[in-house]
Amino acid sequence: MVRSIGIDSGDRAVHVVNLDGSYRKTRLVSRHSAPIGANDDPMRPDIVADAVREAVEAGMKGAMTLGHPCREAVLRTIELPFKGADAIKKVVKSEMESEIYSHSVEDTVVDFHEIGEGSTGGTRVLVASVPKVGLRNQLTSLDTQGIDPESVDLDTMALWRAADWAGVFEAGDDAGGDAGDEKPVHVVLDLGARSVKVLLTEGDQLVDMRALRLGDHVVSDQIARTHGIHGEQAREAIADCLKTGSDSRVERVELAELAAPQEDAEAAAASGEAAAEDPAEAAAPPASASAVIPFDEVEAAHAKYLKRLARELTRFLTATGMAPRIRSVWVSGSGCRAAGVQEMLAAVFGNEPKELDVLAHLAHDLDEAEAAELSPQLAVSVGLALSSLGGPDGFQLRQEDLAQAGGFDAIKFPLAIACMVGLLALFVFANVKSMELTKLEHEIGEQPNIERAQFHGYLNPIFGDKWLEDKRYFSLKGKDGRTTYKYKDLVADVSAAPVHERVGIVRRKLRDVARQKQKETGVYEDVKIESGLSVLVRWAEMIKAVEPQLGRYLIPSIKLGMKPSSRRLVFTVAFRGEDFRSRMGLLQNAINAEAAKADSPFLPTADPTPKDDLFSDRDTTGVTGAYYTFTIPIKEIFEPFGPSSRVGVLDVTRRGQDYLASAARGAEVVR
Amino acid sequence: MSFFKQMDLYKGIILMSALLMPACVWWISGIEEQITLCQAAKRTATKRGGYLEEIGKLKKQIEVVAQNRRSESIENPTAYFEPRIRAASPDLRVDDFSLKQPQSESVTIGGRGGRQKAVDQVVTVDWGKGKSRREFQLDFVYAVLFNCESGARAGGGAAGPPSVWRLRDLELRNVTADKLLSGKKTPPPELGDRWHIREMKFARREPRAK
Repeated sequence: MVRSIGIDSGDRAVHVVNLDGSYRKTRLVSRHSAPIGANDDPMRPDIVADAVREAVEAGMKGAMTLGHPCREAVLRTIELPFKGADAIKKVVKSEMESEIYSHSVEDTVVDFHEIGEGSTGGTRVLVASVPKVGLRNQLTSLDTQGIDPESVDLDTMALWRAADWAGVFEAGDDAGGDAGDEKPVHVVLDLGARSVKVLLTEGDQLVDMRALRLGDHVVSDQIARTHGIHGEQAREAIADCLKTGSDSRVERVELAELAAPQEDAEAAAASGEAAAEDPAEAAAPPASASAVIPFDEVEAAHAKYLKRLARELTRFLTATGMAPRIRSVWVSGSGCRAAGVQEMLAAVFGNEPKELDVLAHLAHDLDEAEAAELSPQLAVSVGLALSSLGGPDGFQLRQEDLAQAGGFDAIKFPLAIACMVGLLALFVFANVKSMELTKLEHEIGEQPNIERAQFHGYLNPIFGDKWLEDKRYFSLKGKDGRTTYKYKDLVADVSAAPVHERVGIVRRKLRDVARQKQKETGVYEDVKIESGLSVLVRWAEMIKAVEPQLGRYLIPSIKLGMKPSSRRLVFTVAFRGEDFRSRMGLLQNAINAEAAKADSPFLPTADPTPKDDLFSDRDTTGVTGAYYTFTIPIKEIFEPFGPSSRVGVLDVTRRGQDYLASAARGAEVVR
Repeated sequence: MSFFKQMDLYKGIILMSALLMPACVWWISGIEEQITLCQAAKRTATKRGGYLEEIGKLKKQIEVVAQNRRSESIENPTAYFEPRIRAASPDLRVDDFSLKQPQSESVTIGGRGGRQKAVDQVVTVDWGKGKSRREFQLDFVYAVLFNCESGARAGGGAAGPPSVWRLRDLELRNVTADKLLSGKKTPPPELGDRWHIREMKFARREPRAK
């Protein structure tokens, strides 16, 4: 449920109400009233702020609407030659400039309320101009108590809203007007101690309103001055006299006892206001302990007040020209039940006034007597609270520099800047990333033109050398031997694939082609067989290298086996002469050195020293010597004609590292 | 709905940002994902043994395979070997050697942890026995071996890939020292360049069918 708080800084008391529910089904959750002393300035913001703080501390919560006294505002009804709130808003302040004499329009908050169509087809608006200084003081004071009302409205607008909500404007609608289509006019009055708020409606449409700076305070002021008593005592004495019809006795008390707290009094003294307002009271100290307030005197003062009020109301009515159309009069406020008020109003308006009983339309838990006493005083505060529950719009006086600084509005500017910066940063970041992606796609194989089989990056040389277009190399065949996949299909597949998959697609298709061709031809590069010729060449190089040290030697047999289970080279060497063992050692060392090389096809032998097979006929021939049989194991995988071989060394570029391949390039057999 | 009711430039910017920021984040995350995929693809392509290297090997492999048709060296090994052997010596007669039909030999290749079963197709070149066996010089033997392993052709021609055939077994005995060696007798100071080819085999390898 929506909750709202209405704050009425009334003439005699600050009323704070807390409502919840909806505009049509409303409940009074709680209320709080703080009296304003007779000598206190009702415009003193700290009194209002204290009262609101107490109410909030008591548990009130919800959207807060502060009522600003209409007596502080300048009200004007003007006609503008156009329609529409936005258009009116643009010019209303400048239009009011010529209407206000007491303040500069720049020092005021201006708002308007459309009250009907203008005579020339434009719009008739009721404009309120409120000095900022008083409003600011009140808001500042509330702020010091940690209170920040969402909106500030005029109390007269709240009175109109409360009356509308209570349905008082519906009463005379059926009756019809004297002048055909004209709607009946209703009057709503709020009689306060220092001002009387009066507004006129045509049907439920507000047409005019006024705050008269006149209230029953003038009566109590006069009695208090005359008899040297306190204002509150005077008020009680007046009420007593008017009620009983006899004199009233009042015990005089020291003014200080009833006065405002010390600091307030000092502040008032400093501003000179107290002296200015009640010079007689300050100048005439009490002569005795008690005073008798004569009924006649009270009656005369009261009658004078009523007469003056009737004159003011009549003047207002005459100015509006609506007096004949008035169908109902509704009253509220602390002074509405004073003696003679009903009769005076009936005489002025020609209609019997009725009390605006807001509590009768609210669900509440007040007892009957309390409700009856409070109801007329709460009309404005209830009307203020109703604005947040969906009631008719009033004035919004929190504008310009007085606009609410908290909430979303307070952060929207920095938030908008942060959002723009964030959005820009994200946009830049996205573009940087996009460029990074484009670069990567260029590196891998972006296709600049979808119509042509051209690619950037890694795919460029793959597709650029026409190799793939050769059907002898790249084509997949079906079971019937017909080509089912060729270069164009590959280009189509690669073009359609995301860039990061393209190299993989080429590789996969080439692998498929290789497998099919291997199966077709029986040539398997992946199970290659090592060259026996390269082993023999390497062996011959080794023997040649050690030849100067070996001297004369004889090799009668060589046997090479490259079968995986028995890869070895077996050869027999014969040395003649006395030094045959040392020469055998030289050869053995050469074999071990060769086997130690990383690119050698030979492995170190497990039994490096072969046995001596001495010449069997040495006694006959007289020649000493021996046969030695060397067995050198061969590696399973080796680099034929590796870097340390003489054949490999000849090829500086290492391109022709495959000796046989380079020989084949010459395409000539050896004879 | 008062947010929309009281719309102004700042609120418009905030609203636009609220809509565009998630869109930008979604866009960036999509790009990031693609960058990650491209970086992974780049790594996979360029690393040692990666896709590019593999593509190069596959192209070479396909070239080799395409140019070694069964019709020549595989389907009919005799037609492959005979001209290359005869090209080694103009004096060589056709009946000085004979070529046997390829024999399949199952082998297991690869070191620890990488054993692979394969089949070697072995072609034996028979150079005769006993008195019918001719003597050859080592240069001739080298020329035969080179011609058969390289795939070179008589008269030259277009360059091509190396042959799939490799020397598998070879046994040479010096004619002069052959009998002396068996008795471990004293060899002469020099041996003549006369050799008997006792064994000569060439082989090609293919994966064993599963």
